[in-house]
Amino acid sequence: MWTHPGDAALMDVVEGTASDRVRGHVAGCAECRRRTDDVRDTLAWSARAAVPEPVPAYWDVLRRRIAVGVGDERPSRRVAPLWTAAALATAAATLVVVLPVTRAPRPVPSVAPAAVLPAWSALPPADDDAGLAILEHAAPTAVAVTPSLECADVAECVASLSDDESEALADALRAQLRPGQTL
Amino acid sequence: MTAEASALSISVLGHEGAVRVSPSHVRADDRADIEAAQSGDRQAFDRLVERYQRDVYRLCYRYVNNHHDASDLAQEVFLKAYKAVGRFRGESAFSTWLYRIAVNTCLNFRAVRKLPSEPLEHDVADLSRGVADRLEEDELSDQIREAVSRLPEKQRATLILKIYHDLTHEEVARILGSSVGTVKANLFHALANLRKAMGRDKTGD
Repeated sequence: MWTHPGDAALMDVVEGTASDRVRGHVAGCAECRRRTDDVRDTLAWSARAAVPEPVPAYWDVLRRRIAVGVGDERPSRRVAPLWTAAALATAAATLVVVLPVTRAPRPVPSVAPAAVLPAWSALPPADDDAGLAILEHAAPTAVAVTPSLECADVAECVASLSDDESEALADALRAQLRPGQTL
Repeated sequence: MTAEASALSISVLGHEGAVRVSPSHVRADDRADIEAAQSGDRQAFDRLVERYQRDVYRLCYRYVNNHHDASDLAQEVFLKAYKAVGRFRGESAFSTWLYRIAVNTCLNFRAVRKLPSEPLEHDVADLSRGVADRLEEDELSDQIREAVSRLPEKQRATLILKIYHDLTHEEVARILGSSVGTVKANLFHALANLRKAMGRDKTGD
C-alpha cells in the first residue's frame, strides 16, 4: 500500500530531520517531492521579510511608557518558583537521609523566656485601697493567729494565709467587732 | 473573535504543558530579575523589558503589520506581564511565558478589530521576476508580511514564532498549547498557504 507521509513528516524532510523511510519515499514520489521543494523555497524567501526596525530612540520611549504604566500597577501575589520548591524538596530529602545516620544527641530544648506581661493588678492602688486600713488594724490579730508567718507587711501576710488560717482570722476579727458591726 | 481564534486563545491560556520544560530553562540573569520583580522591584522589571522588548514588538508587528498598533500591543503585553509576574513559576523560559501573553494579546486585538485572517488571493503581486531578486524591495517585504498576517490563526502563530523568532518546535508547542507534530504540520500548511497567497503556487491545490 502506497501511503504518503503526513505534513509533519514532510516538514521534517524540509528541515533535514526526517527518517530514512520518509526520505526514501519523498525521493521516489514526485508529488511529495514537489510539495517539499515548494515549502523549502517558500521558507527561504519568507524568512527574509524582516520587520522594519524602528529608530533606535524608540526603544527608550517604549521602556518609559511601560515604566509609567507599571507605576500604577502592582504585581500579583508571588508564588514560590519551581526552583525554590525544588531546592526545598532537596533540602528536606537530605535531612531525611542524614538525620537517622548521624544520630546526634538530642539537644536539651532551651527554656523560652517568660513573656513579659504588662503591669496589672486586680487590686486598686495602695493609696486608694481603704481595705488596707482595716488590715493594718487587724495585723496584730493576724500575727497572733498565724505565728508561723513571717510577713513583710500586712497585705503580704493576709495573701499568704491558707483557707483555715483565713477562717481563723475572720473569727478573730469578728470577736473584736462591736455590736452591730460587720466585716 | 472567530471560532478558531477563540479556540487558540483558550488553548494558550489553559495549556499546562504537553512539553515539559525544566526550571533550568530560565536564564540565570532572568531568574534574579524575575524574583526581584515579583517582590515589586520595578527596576528589575525594567531590565526584563529592555531584554525582551524588541522580540515582543516584532512579534506584535507580525500580527498587525503596522508600527502604531505593534507599539501599543507591546506596551500592553509588558503591563500584563508585570501584573502576572508573581505567578510565573519557572516552568518554562521567561521568553516562552512572555510570548504566550503576546500571542493572546494579539489574538484578542485582532478579534476586537475583526481583522481578516484568510489569505487574499487577489492581493497577489506580479511576481514574474524571481522572488529572490525582488526581496530587496520593501514593497515585496510588505506583501509577505501582509500575507503572513492574513494566514489562519494557528498557522500564522506557528509561522511567526518558528520562522521569525527562531524558536524550536518544542517552544512553539509550549506557547500554543499544541503537540510538536501539530506545530510541524501547521508550519508546513502555513508555508504552502503563504506560497499560494503570493502567487507562487503553480498547481492551484
